[in-house]
Amino acid sequence: MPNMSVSERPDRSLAWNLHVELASRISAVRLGPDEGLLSEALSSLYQVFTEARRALAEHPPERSLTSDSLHQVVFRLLNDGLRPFLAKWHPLLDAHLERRPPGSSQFDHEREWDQAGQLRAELADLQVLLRDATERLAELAGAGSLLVEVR
Amino acid sequence: MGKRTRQFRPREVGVKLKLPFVGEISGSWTPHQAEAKAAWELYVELATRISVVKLRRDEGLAREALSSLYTLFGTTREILRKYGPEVSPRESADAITFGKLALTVLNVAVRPLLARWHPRLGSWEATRSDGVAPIDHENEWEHIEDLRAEIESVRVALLQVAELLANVSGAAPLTPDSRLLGDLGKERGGVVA
Repeated sequence: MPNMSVSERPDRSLAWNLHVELASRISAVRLGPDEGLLSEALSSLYQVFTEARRALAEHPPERSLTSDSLHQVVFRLLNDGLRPFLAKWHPLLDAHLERRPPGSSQFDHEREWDQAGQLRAELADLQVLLRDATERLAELAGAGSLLVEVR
Repeated sequence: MGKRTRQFRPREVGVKLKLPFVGEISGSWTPHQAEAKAAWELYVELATRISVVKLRRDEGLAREALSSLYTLFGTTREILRKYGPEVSPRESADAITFGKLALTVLNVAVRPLLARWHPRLGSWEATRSDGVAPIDHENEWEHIEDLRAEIESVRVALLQVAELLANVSGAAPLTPDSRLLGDLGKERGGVVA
């Protein structure tokens, strides 16, 4: 139905908003071993939560929810995908950052962390899962996927 | 600026861009109206930012250029949300669309620059002593010339993208017109002021 505007298709609009979030954040693109700040990667993933919450609230389901309705897909993405990762790593990273000595930059301090490699490995696993969800959301939005094949 | 009364007519635009890291993107783009509107908004963003203004030594901080480039993520997301799935039409899975172009620019040209340099520059900034001006400290960094060179290559790429967006939005003639981007356009042709 190409001529219907998005406002007439609330599900499409919800799926699109989340697709845009996931495709444009660290959820979509590999983080090289020596790149980025871990704290910023985590806060970018938190932003997905914030945006998803807003989008869900603005797009109430038109029919009662079934297990494969879009809203349930989004709830699972948040609660089974993002939440366990963030719940595990946010406090651990915070605790490490608390121990940063004066004069040491955040980048250097993160690099000295003995769990940084593990966090990066688990992030890479999560990205595989999130990229699948991102593709699925593009289909539900009726849009071409914005995921870019990178490196 | 007067009210635009022109009718929107989709027209095919040939695309040939050289982006850092990806190499060349080429293909054709027949933008829908939503894409043309989104293209104009992103064009305005690019044309008015430090991201397309050449950064000369002692004139601006590399840090500011990085921060300016970072804001493109938020702005692009906002534009994509505003115009909806129509900016990434499915029927043209192999063709260029606004959505695909915008995300390629972000994830493939801008993101690697920021991912590599933002933390490293931050490390250097942490060593600045009181009483030393940020710009002087930045210019003392052993890697500053490498960083500036990489910012420059992203800037040149964004300039090409801006020109393309102007064409697609109907704001520019199909042949490049240096008046459109003013001095920025001229510079790209090799006339560095």
